Amino acid sequence: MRLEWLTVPLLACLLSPLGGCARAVEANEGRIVHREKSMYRDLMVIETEQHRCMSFARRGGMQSCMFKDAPDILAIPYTRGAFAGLLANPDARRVLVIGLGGGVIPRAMRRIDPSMRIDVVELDPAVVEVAKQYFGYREDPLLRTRIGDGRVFVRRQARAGVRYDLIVIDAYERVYVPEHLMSREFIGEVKSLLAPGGVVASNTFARGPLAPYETATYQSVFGETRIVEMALGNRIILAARDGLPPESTMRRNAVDFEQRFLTIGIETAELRSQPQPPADGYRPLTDQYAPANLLFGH
Amino acid sequence: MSVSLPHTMEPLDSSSGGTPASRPRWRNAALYLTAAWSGFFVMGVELLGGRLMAPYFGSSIFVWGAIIAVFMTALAIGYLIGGQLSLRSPSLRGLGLLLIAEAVLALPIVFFGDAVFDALSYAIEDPRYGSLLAALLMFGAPTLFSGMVSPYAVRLLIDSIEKSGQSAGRLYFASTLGSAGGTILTTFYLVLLFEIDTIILSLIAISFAIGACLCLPGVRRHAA
Repeated sequence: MRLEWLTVPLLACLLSPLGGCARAVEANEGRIVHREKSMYRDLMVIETEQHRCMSFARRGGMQSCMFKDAPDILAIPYTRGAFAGLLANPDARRVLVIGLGGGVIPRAMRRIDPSMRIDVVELDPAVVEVAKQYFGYREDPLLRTRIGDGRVFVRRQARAGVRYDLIVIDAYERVYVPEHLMSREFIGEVKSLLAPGGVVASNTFARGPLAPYETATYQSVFGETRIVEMALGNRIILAARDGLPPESTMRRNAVDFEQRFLTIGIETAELRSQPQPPADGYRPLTDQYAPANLLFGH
Repeated sequence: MSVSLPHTMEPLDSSSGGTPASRPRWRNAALYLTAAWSGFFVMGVELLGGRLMAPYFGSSIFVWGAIIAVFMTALAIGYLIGGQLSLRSPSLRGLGLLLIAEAVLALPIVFFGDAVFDALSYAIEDPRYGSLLAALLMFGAPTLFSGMVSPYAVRLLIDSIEKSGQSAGRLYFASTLGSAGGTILTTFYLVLLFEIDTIILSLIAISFAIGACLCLPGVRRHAA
């Protein structure tokens, strides 16, 4: 991605963790082109000269942004970070994305691999409509969107015997973390849905009091986790059913993906992951003890 | 009935046991406290119930809709039954038994909740009706008995027709304020300190203890 494309306000917003640019865009001639009260949120599409972004709350940051004249380029760092999952499991054929947003992640996956089978589960039907209308999100025979709760979907797929090679979790917002999607039990259900060699890439909070609890929760299920610190402040937790491949393998895979990733605005260097030290002293969140939003707010 | 001596008014019904003057002061306080606790209990269980169901049905708006609908309906029926029950020799012991019933009937939430939610989440395709039935099975019975507490306690409080509205108003005040307390304490603090089952078991233990106290022979003799 070329930095000169970025306007100053958008750069400011991209620098903040998990979005957070609503105010910056708003204060800088960002124009609301669509606004609706959906069943769950105040859903907005905000445009600047070069960008179009989806926002769930005035101060809640951006869920998805795209360049209006280069819609295939992933504009927000964490959406690029999710592709580190492919470096850990380059042969992923079947992918699940939990949380649609503007649909930029599944769309970019489709762009680099026309035969990948992608399931998306999104709670809010209005988000799906807006993704289609404003962000060029298209379903096809191998890319399906299910409306519903992510956890309910995961449980049902696991029971039906479906397995995924890559699961991308993008369900946590700055203003609200669904607590039942941030528990050891849920992460365990996600793990049970992974095929052999399957990988999970979860967009989580880089900073703040909740971060070590998230790490502890993922580690309590997967043991080893790695982290992709994105240049502009988000982090992706990487974990695998059967353990992550060594770094040298992921680097080799990165070379294979380099050209394809460039078409969606990813430079493979930014997907380099680090082993995550154990979150000692932090209690994993569970269904019984899951005050994610309270911990976040402290 | 003498207007000039309202404090010596006859009870509305001789079966209510004793004139106001013969009742110890703490009796009314105990009734308000019981109603307040019952309100606390209901809201604590309701909010934690939502959390217990989320892993199986999600936390979509309709899951909360199902839970609230079940609680409201159970309370409504409880009011009706509690009012009927108060017609027949109401006593502190009877009130105590209602609390013990709400406590005992809430135990399955802790011990069978997960199994029931799990089975229903697969058995019923539409999570709206799955969560409605699940909430009904797990929360309907204890909430029904919680609903019986207030009208029953009103009957024990009322000294006169003139003051019946006042007594009922005070009781609703206590009960609803208790609900507010249960709501805020549970969601702001308790979930940060304890596991959900621990909180529910504690609520059950407190309900049981209050109910048992109201049933103690000494309490009945002094208060009746």
